[in-house]
Amino acid sequence: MAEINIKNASVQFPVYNDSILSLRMAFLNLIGKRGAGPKIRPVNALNHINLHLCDGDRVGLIGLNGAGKTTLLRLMAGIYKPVEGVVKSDGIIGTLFDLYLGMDDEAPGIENIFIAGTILGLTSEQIKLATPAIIEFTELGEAIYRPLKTYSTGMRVKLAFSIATSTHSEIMLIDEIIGVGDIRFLRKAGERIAKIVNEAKVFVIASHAEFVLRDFCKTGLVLERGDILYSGPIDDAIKFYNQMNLNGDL
Amino acid sequence: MEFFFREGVIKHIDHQLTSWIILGWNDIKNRYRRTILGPFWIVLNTAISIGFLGIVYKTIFKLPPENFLPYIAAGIVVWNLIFINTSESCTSFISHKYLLQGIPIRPELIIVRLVFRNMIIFLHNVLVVIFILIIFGKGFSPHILLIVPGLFLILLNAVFLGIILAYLSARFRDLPQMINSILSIMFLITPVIWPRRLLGDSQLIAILNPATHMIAIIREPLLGAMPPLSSWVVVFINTIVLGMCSVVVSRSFRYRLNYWL
Repeated sequence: MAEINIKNASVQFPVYNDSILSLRMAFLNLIGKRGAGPKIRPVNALNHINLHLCDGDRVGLIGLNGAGKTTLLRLMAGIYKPVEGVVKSDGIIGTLFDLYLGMDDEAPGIENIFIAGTILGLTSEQIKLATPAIIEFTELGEAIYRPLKTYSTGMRVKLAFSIATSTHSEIMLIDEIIGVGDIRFLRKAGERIAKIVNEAKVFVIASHAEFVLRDFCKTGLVLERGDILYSGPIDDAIKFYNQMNLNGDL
Repeated sequence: MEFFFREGVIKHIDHQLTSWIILGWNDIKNRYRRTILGPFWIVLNTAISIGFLGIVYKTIFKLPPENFLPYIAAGIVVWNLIFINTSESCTSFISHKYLLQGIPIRPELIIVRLVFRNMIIFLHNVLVVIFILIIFGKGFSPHILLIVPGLFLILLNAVFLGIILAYLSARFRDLPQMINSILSIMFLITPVIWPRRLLGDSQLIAILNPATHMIAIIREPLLGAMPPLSSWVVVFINTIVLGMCSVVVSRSFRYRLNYWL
């Protein structure tokens, strides 16, 4: 059984400025030559989050920019550790947070399928098997043999998306990235995500697109300034969010 | 249950380790693919700098090249390995920021890839030394086999030191610069391109310098001699200490790392 269990977890970002990131300054501060440096005031990104997701949960994260959606996803993935509270997860985690995937700008697309696939944890055989399908999905044609640096943003999205979605994970975490790409690709991407949603035991996506949320999620979490304001059926969550922004602090 | 969980984790790490070694190998393959000479450009570079050093030493110090050239060549090649591993490790986490924040991987694997790649380049560079040994009609002794355990220790050392430096450099952004300055001083005070006996009574400079011993355990076997036991011991202890430090560093900072990047 796949599950993510978050208990009373908080995330704070220390705000580092240049002098705090410097060893020389740290040393000078230590020997008291400059007095105490500027105090770091941490930014609260998530406050006392409690969340339990298990098999069959399809969750949409809703919130304005800076509400903590990406931070929550990274917390679930284990990229951030909470400053207090605990996060426990069980199951193979797959992420689709950005389109970088450790790819090499100088290497051709086909080579990058190998690089990104390996970083995502696929074996050479698995990559070999998956490559034709990945190339087909990208519709890049001959361009797959050209270096990545010659690709347009749209082409990069296609490549990264089709590689990242070729892994089979029990817990799939997706940050909103499918906003790019032409209309035809968006439709294909939608179908691919629908397939992931069916395969993954736990599925979490952060999105601003209502149709994405309605199509793929059962539950919605509305986030604001690091708090979960609402948790419930996706349609109600969207309604709550829209209401909040209509009346809200505007 | 706990046991199986651990087994699973261990298998997972093994698989990841091989994956990242494959990635290091792939880096080299890519260099071959991009240019006909591939990593041999680096070999050519090494060969040219050693060649010029030979000319300088011959004309200025009037030294016969057959005596010092193999020594210098072996020294430079090993030094380059130590230098590039240390220097690249410093910036490795910073330059992999997006990867580390996008995919939950063990940051240490980035160091493994880098050290493995540099080992392959080192093996290319060793050809220069072997070429020089052949030119000057120096024979090979079975001692040359000792470079295998020597290289293994050096690489282990590089991984451990790399992990420590990569974490600290992510936190203190001026550290890579400092390390590079330290490395260039190290090059001058380490018997790389000058013999240790020239230090006369000041042998302590060489003895206290771990780089001396790291170079010795590969250079001596390459030149057909047995490295001094003391060098083995120093490098061995050094590796163990760095290994323990790297475990402490990565345990303490693994989850802070992404907040620093």
